[in-house]
Amino acid sequence: MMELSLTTKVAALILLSGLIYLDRVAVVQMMIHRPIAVAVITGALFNRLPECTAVGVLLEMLWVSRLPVGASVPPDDTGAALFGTVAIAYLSFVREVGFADIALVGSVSVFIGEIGREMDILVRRLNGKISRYAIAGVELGDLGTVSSCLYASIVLWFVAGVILSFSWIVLGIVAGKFLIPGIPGTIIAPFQVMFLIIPATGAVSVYQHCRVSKKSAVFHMSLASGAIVFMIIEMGVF
Amino acid sequence: MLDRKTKVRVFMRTMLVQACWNFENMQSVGFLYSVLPGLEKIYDGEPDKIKAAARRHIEFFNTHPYFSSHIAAMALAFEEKIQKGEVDPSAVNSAKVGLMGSLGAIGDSFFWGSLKPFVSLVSVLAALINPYLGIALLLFTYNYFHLRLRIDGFNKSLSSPNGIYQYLKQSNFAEKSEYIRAMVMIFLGVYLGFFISRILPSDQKIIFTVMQFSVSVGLIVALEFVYRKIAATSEIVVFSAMFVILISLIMG
Repeated sequence: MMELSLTTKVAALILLSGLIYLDRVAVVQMMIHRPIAVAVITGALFNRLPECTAVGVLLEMLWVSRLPVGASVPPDDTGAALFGTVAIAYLSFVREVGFADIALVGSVSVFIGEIGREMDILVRRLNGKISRYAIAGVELGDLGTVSSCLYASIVLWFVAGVILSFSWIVLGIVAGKFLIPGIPGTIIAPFQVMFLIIPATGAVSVYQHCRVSKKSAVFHMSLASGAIVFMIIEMGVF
Repeated sequence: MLDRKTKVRVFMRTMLVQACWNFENMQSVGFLYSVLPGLEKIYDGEPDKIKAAARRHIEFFNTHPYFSSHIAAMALAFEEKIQKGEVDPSAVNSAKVGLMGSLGAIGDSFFWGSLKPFVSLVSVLAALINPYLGIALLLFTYNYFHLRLRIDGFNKSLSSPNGIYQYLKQSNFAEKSEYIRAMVMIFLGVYLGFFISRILPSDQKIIFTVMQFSVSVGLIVALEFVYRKIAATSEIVVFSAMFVILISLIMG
């Protein structure tokens, strides 16, 4: 099979991400925009599946209880995953990556998610203007404007998605290729603790939102037994 | 009665209910876009009635996106009655307003608060074994449940204006949510256990492993406390990362 060049892969990822961004709000919401899905797609594209999946797993877990309730706009977890996975893939082209690198990239990706949220808010505001055209059209009896305005909104979401994807992918390449390799190992090493803090933060958010009987007992028992079983597996007993 | 082609068109269009989501009218444009083929069929050859019906459905609308299919179907069931002169035109908006809030709350609790975390956790655990298995589980499991509920609800809500209430009564979303959340708690614990086992070195004395394990669990309990106070995941991670940088700079 013909091997695609890195530039072609980046261009393909930008276009594909524009479509993935549509799944966040505008079209269907079939969860292809989740960090874990984005991570697997990026990992497969750059042939760095384990590294990208690790970042995707961290971010998926952090925003697992992300609730777009009413008018609240959640962080851009798709953009965060794009940045994080591209950064870790490019870092792995430079040197071997460890848990601390993955946790560092995961932590920086959280900023990206917060910035991306602003673009989401901007698109929703522009949609407000588009919806006024649709309402005016309906008042005048021109029902065709409803479809035209809706398609205009979809194009707007797609364009915003492509702009965001382009920005995060370029930023990810810069971070993975130039910035992170320049950070001393003594600064990166303590980030290993973030490998627990990031998923644990997501977990406690789910824990707080979930109303279920005996949740504390169920959660802590599962945690202890999970840790023990995985540690035994890690020690090579089996 | 709507024909099959129109039903499919309306159902497919409900997938775009959030396309024009905005802070003023929220999903109103998307909702009208969804029901428009149905209105054109019901009031076939009566353009003034189509326009009047369209004006009814461009009003403020916001619900859980997956339940928009149910409300669109219910609205069309009402429109059929309005066309026959059996129901007052204002009844459809009263029913929509009455349902959109409650279905929004049920959807947030069932889909966002139970099904999504559960499927995410299962797929993440599967992704640790094989990434492709993880993504396949996520997309297949989640979409199977979400599309099945949408299709079932759409068909039952279309049968009569009261069909949606019977459907909701039979579905028992509260009990289903409770079961799924209990599973979420179990998977959440197992998942965090995995991360703890990852950061603990396995080549040391058992006493050190036990001590580090206790510290990790203590950290999770502390995070629970912090989250209860500020309830913001991103901020906790950002401040923790800054703290890590500070500590590493102090330690040289």
